[in-house]
Amino acid sequence: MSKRKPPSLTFKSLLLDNPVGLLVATLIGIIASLAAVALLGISGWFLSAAGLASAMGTALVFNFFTPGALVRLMAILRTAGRYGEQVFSHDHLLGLLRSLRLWVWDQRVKTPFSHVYQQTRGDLLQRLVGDVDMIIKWPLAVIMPWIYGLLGCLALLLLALSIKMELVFPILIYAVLQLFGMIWLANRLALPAVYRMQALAVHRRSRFMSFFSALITLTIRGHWQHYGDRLGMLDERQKTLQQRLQRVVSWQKLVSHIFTIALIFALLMLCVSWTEQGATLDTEIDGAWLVALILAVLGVNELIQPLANAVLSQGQSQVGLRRLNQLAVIAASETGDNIPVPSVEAIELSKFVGFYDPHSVLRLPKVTLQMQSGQRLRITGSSGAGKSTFLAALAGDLPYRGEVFLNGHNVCLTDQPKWRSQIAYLSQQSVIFQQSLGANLRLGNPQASDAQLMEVLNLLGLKEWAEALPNGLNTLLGAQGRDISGGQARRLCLARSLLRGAPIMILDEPFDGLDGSSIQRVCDALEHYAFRPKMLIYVSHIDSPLDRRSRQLELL
Amino acid sequence: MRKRVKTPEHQFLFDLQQAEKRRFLAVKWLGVLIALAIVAQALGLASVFANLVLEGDLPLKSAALAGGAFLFKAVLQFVREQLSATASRNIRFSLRKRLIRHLAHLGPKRLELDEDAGLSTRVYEQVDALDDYYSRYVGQVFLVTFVPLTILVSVLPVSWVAFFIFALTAPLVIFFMILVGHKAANANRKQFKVLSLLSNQFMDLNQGMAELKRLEQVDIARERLALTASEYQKNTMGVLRLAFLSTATLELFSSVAIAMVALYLGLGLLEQLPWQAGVAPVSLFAAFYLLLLAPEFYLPLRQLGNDYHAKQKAEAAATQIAEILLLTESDQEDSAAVLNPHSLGKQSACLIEFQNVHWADAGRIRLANLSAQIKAKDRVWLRGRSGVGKSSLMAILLGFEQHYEGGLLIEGEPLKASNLSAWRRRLAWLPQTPEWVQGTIRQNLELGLGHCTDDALRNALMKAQCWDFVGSLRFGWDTAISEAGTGLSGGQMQRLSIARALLSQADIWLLDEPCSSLDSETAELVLNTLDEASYGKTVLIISHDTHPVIWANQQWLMTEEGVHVEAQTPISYV
Repeated sequence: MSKRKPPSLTFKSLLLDNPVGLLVATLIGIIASLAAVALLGISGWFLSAAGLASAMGTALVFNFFTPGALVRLMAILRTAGRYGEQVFSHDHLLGLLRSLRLWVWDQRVKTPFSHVYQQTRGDLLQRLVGDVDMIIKWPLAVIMPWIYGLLGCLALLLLALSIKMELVFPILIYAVLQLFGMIWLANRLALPAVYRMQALAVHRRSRFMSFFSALITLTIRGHWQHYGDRLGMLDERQKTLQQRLQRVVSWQKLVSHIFTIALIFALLMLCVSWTEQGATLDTEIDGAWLVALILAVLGVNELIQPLANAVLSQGQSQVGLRRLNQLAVIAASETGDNIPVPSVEAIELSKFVGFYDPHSVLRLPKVTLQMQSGQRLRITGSSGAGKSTFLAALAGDLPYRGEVFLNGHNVCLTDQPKWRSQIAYLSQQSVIFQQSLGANLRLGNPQASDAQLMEVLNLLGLKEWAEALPNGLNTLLGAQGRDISGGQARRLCLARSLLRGAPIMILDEPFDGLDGSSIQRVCDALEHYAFRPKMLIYVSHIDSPLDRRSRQLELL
Repeated sequence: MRKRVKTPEHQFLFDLQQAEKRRFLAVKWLGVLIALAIVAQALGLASVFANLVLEGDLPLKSAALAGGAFLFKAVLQFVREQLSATASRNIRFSLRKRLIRHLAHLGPKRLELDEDAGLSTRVYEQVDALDDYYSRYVGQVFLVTFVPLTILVSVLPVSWVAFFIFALTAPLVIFFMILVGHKAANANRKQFKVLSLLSNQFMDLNQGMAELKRLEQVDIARERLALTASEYQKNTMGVLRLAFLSTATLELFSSVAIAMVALYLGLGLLEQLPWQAGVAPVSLFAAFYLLLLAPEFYLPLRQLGNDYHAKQKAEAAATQIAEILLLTESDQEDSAAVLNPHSLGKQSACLIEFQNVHWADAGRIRLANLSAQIKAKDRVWLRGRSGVGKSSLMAILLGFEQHYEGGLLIEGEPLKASNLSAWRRRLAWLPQTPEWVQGTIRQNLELGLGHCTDDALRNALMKAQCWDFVGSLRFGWDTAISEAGTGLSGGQMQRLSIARALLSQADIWLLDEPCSSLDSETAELVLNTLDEASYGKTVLIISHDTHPVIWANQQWLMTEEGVHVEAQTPISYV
């Protein structure tokens, strides 16, 4: 399951992701491809030899069973091989899709908090949908056709050797031109366009997202046309590039056909000598085998055609890989050293100040305080004084300046899993996932029973609402909690935090959107039983019964 | 093909195809030439081969014919590819333009279909999914009938047996293709849904990454992802196995048929055919001719089998694209006809008048009878339960919805397409989550306005109480903000949109729950700023009871039955 991924993706790592699967697919593909070439070759030879035997009156002694059986065998091999190749290679491809998606996920997990939301949604979507799809096709579209082409040419060489030594040279030249020369040339011609096209696609999508996220404002100001036109312009450029690429691919196919006809011409020329009657076949050459060779060349010609598209795929996957690798995070530099004691009994902050942007540190208040187990702390302050920033930094979401001591040990809290396991943090934003209500709550405690969930919902005054839902706890909640109100989302997040049962609770405006009786019930729960934490730090602009035994800290 | 009853997707694809009729016609004619070239090439090669084997010499004329036909065919294919690719490009890019225009006209209604990210996938990926259909499938459909027919005809004079082998196997191939193809088409549709589900799930979990980390549930989320991906793999493999099975059937038939032809010819040449031993039914030349044509006979069929997938892909994409185009923008002319004769004369007093405005959409009542007036400089607080039609009212006022009954008069004139843009220019719009584009704060403030002077900008920022925090940013108003507005709090973002409204000089402000995503304290402060900033403007503000708008001078309570208008003594600090 959790195979360790190399820090960056390369073509090699794609090949090695599931080498057996790929190898099986390739082998079956090779068999199918060679069988297709052989089918033509053997049939040609069989006909010629039969015709010759008949003409020479030796038809009765001609062994026609072996070639006949061979022809049928090749036919079946070709079919079964093609089918097997398709099935196995696509299975491999989908496996790649899965591991690439998970790879992206792992990179996102490793990304430090402050960077997670820097990439815009449109961009990320492009990476995921476009790039991953492009990359997984790489083995199928690039490597396998090339291998088939290579082996096809090898087979031609062997056949040619058995006919006449000199025939090897034109075939060698042909193979080098088709398998290396053409690809090199097409790369030169097409790759820059592929790169530009991919860059344009990303740009275009983020433009699209920008345009539509501000659509109403643009419309009422009568300017959407202008912005829409700019989007159209990007599309036009994309169109020109597509045209160019398509032309390169078509040319490559045409030139490859020309090479093939030239090869056949060269082979024939090497086998005939010119007399006054015209061209006669050299005597040491078996006409039947020559026919087989020419038919095989035609077969290889078909085999090589997909290579024209390979260049395009190669370029696209290269860009895709490069861009996905930009997501890669070099394994978290600071290692989780500390938090030596399993239970935190005392917290001490010294000149502690959290920040989004190092530039703003100067404006924000520095906090120095000490807290013991069993204490509560309420943070107050005017809007914009940095209360939420303080809590977020304390919860390890944001970087901070200053020092923190847990049980007297100097520690670093930022992105620290061990610290996270000690706390329950209710942040300013309410995040609801597109999962069932129950699954959303169980993110706080996967082991919680339905009864426990209902108890918490009851506490927050959500029980009636939950019971009225069509499927109760199994009701699916919409995208980013679209179907539920802001107040409900808030309370669900609070429920999640309560369910965690963590010894330290950090709550950012826990009472927002709650009515008086719910506030009372939440306070009771936090004070008396069930959900009482060892330490509680909260920000609230609403006075509550909790305040009676809380210390107050005002941020200025 | 055209006789059959068309599915809507089919019709949709066909209509698009009509725009490039001439190119597709040319593609057809090139197909005819290609079929002829194939036969000519087989003739030439067969003669070369027969002579090489039997006489030991190379007939130059035949060689020239074969080579010429081969080259001619390659060039034809090149041209044909260019033509169909151009046709496909033209179709796709003009369709995309149409889609974007249409979506822009739909306004907020587009979100009924999907979120913007999902729509962008439809506009870009799905439209590109039509490529294979137009650039390969459409041309192939013609070839698939014409090439085998040509070959059948050219085989007939040479060998009856070969003719029958071809003629009998071809329908079988088609029969199996359709049989398996149908199943595959259904499965394919299902797979498309799963794929979009997968993307949605990823985006959703990704959006909530911070929360998952806080809850230490990152690994569980990963498992969920892995599980759905595996399921997707399983499902897709099911689909593909079917699809490949249809190709494999084709391959099998063509392979077996080629082998049968080869065997028949070989045995025939050896005079060993059980039913006519001692007689050679064909010459070596004819045998080669038949053998060379055999694969060509099945090739278009086999390719169609591959491209059949392209058709299914295109149909699935067409469903999604047509959905966008089917969602009609409100008819611009329609509602203007519902004129109200009695209104003229007393209009000067009120700026906006709703006369029994009622809007039902697809059987659902979006807005129940509304009759009310707003005078210039009125500030109206609109309350009511969610789903009662407050946002629908906004959509009507913004001019995105005109399918309602009743009349909406602006200074006595009914709002219609001809005066819509003038009306819109008077509006400022502040939704729950401010509309931001990627760019600097300044670019966002000037959005749709053109360049503003520094003074005007400073003025607006000061009045909206943004000056302090904008000034403290490293690059001031040239600081870049992303769509999500990183680094600025919700209250600050909302203040910036107030500044934007001020900058636009709009005299009518429409606000849709501007405070609902803010905590109560910040909301109160933002409302105070709004009080000051919107003084002297006409304001319609939707706000929850938890965030009362005390400075409004009218209170509208909206229920399922209608709107209850009540005057309110404004408590304003201005």
